[in-house]
Amino acid sequence: MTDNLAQSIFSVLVHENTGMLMTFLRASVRKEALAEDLFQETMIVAWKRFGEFDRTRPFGPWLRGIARNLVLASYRARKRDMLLCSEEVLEHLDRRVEQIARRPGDTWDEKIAALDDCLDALPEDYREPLELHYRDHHNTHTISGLLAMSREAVKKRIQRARSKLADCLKRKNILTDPEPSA
Amino acid sequence: MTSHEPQPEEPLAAWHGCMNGEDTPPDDAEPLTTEQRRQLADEQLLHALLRGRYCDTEASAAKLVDRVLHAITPRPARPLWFRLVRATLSSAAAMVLVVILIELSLPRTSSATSDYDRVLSAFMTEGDRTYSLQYAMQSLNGDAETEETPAAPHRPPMRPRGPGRLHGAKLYLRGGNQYVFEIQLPREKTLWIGQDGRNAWAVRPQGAVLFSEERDAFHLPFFEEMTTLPLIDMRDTLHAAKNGYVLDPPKRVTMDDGRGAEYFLARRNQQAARRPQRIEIWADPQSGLLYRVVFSRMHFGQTLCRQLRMEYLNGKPLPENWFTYQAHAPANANVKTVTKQDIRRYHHRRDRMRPHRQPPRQHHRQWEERRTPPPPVPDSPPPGE
Repeated sequence: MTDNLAQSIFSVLVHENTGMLMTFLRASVRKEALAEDLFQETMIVAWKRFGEFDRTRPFGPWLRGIARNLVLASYRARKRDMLLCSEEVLEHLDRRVEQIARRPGDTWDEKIAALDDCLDALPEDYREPLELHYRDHHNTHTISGLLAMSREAVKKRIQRARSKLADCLKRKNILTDPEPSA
Repeated sequence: MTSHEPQPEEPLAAWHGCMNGEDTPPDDAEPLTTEQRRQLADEQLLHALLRGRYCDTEASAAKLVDRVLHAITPRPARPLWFRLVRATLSSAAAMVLVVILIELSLPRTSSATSDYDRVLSAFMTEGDRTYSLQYAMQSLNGDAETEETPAAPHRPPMRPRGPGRLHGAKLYLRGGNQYVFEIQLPREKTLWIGQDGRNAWAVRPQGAVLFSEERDAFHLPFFEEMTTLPLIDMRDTLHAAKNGYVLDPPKRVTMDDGRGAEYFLARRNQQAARRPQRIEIWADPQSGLLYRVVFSRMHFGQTLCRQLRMEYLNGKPLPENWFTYQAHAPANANVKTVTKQDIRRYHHRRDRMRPHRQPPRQHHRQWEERRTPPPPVPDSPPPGE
């Protein structure tokens, strides 16, 4: 295969897997900038090893395998920028992301469309702080000012909103429990 | 559940604030069970899905992909003649730049100041005016982004970060010392922040109206970026543009809609280090009415500098009490008075609660270059809460 052809194929695969990989990385690290750096690093390593990739197998899990190694290496270097991180947690996240990746839909957005339904079903009291935090990028200090609540109450509200969304997604067979451990 | 049984929420709680991006991971957190680890991992995944759901656009995804493709595309080695020509042109460009810088640093003693005084005095005496705020951000590498960046079709419109939250806000002015900001929040709610010339106030979508005799009491609890927003006190900003900036001689220009205008360009000098690098003003040549003001290269954060544009909409007279909170709050609204002591307590609490921030090591140099002095008040809960 010529370099140009390989690069074209790789470019398509990068496009197809951007949403999936960013979700996996964002679930592993605290800082958006670090997630983006790890995204680029993962893709560059994947490109260097693209010759070793078994084309009969799916690209996503292979990519996440590279990302997992880089996340663990990064965790050792900068623990404060990470979320809860271990082999076991990354393994669990990997399974969850794979679950989503196997859902019907051509793009990552289509595969996680159930999240929109869950957000629509979320009571206003929970949705509002969630949107102020995730959509408008307000921190909990600011939200507490806007909603006239204590900061602790805002944190709790966001946390509960996430829990409610998780329950909703479980009902839709996303984030369902993996097979029972032996 | 008996009191001896473990509370499943407790060990996880330390990690939840960390997910909000504000707290750092606990060093001495209780060890988690396998089930708790999985539960937390699910929450982390949900957090990631929400970030993607609300923050990603086609443009941002394309940017990520472009970075990768750029990095893996081999660059052909340039021939020697190309490198020689490029080196020569670079030297020439550097010399031209030096000449321009010397030219710019020469003191201006033209009639710019007297023309500008006319604009300033018109600003102080003008009646009611309504302006729209538009915001464009430009990354330090020059890639321009605007609020018009389309979001993915099935997603709600993106609200930007930082001062971009003020995009689409309206600014009402009366004379030189009364103003009202109308800022749209999600779910069609509105935040009003204003000053009636003597008192400051804020009407929030929920909670009591905040009222203070301290002129700048409510600039910041809501949006950190308002600390350095030059619009907060336009009178002060216009004075600063005269004193802290080098004013170019005014030019007669024609605006997009065919109106003739007088154009002023003010470039910051060293005394005005925290202000915008450039202020451009388009004013009516006769009355001095401000048609448009553009503030450029304001360093709000670590990574972006932005441009804020204030565009004249109309001069319709506003209700007499428009610049008081009564015009924007329900008649029976609870009003909370915020005193100087409240503000002091709030500053103290803010200082205690502010997390220690360290620049990422690999970006340290860039961070240092872009860093601005900390704003006087961060976006903590409003005083009196």
